[in-house]
Amino acid sequence: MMRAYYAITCKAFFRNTAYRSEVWLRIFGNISIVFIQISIWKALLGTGTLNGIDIEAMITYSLINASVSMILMNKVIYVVDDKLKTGDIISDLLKPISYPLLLFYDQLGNVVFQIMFTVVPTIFIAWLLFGFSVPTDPYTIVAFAISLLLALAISFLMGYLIALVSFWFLTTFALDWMVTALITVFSGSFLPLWFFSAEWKLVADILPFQFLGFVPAAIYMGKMDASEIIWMIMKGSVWILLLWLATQFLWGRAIKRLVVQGG
Amino acid sequence: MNIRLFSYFVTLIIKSRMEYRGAFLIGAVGQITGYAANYLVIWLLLQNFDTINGWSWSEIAFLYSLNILTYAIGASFTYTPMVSLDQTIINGDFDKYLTKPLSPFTYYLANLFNIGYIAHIVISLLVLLWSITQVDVSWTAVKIIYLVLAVISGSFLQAAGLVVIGSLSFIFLRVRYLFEIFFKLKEFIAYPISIYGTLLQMILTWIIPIAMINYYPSIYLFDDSVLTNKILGIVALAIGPLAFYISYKLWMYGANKYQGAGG
Repeated sequence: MMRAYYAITCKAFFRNTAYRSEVWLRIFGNISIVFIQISIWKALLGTGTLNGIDIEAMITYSLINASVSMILMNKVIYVVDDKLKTGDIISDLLKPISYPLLLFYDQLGNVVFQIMFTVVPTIFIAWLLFGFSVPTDPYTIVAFAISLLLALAISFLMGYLIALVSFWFLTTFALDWMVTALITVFSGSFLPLWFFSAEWKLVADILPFQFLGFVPAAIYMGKMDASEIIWMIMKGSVWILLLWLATQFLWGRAIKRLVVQGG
Repeated sequence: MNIRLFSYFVTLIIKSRMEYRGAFLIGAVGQITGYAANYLVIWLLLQNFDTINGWSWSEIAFLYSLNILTYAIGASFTYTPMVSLDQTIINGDFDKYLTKPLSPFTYYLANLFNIGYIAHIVISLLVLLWSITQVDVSWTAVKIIYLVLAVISGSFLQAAGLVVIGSLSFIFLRVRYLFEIFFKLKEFIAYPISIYGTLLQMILTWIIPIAMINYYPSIYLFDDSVLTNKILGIVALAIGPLAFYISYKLWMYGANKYQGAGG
């Protein structure tokens, strides 16, 4: 079984190599975004600090967030949408493997490609241009790696859930805009949750979006102590469980509907 | 092609889009949510810092809205035609625009007018009107006329950018990724360009003059006692129509050179 998933991931990886010109574009886009954010934080913080955060910290924060955003899987929504519209979903359903896992490993191929050809070059160029700090504590590195896995799983399940919802409403585009809006604000990818006022921070804490940017960056920068990290990992795991249950529930109903529609 | 015929085409397009009123409305709500999130992040940021380089929340909101509003107006006329031009040429469908007794440029634009930007216009116009009442400007008749002209000029400039990239389709056939670069570049003018270094400011003013869309009109309106603000404010009114005229010439040059994609 593992061999089949491995093959799916490889196929997705090589599919990406067909779009080499887009690699430069993404690197250019990432560097631009990081550069703009650093310029803003320089204008805001100068040589000072706010809540113990200085410009050096914000450079690292911006870079980690730009990199994490490259490996999120919430755009899986468009893969499902496309397969629904063309009817290709039928051939996927005939395969003797679980459909969400098929999608997940397919997305994983994209992520591996992104890491090799976008994230690594972006970090290298940004390191030359702006410099950034690297954690040395092995526990921090392990915790950061776990937070990345949480980000992968949560973003995937979120995208997949929206895709299942659009089985009924067929408004993928609008739903994606709304989720993207929530991610923009509550992932903290531009404005860290440290700078949120108490009531906005509370909302961000309740929602799962902070795992898609803020949490990995804060762990990477050593801004969370051990008990906070363990609490966050537990919370993230509960979110994965909840989202997974929701997708399982909707999937059962969506399949019935698909049959009723006659494919 | 005269204005009456152009508006007749546009009316037909709006009517056909309104056939699917529900989908259209949900899409609009999605887009408005998306932009509201961007405003919200900047607002949350300025809760901590009061100003970015001396720009208050209402001034940034004005600057930001001017960019979205002019883009939405310009893109309504040019985005869809320009982004689909390469595919139209490859499919051999472009010939039908050359065989009518109308200007191929206006006929092609009228055919693909996109009403979908109405959501962008609604939210940016609302925030713009709100910020007009909040910023520290004594609004005279001259300033109001200036603002209207600045919106028109900015819309032309945004459209010119899209037309220039679109006209490259006649030469290179596939240009889609160049649009992505255009959007990445426009990220730079989401904030006052004074946060960047002198070299980048010069580039954004004179080489890729996108700062003329919102930055120079804004500083002219906020403080016309500075002579350079005044001069560049006036330049900003001329550069939009001029850029659009040049882009039109470029496009027509390409259309005349057009030989078909071997079809």
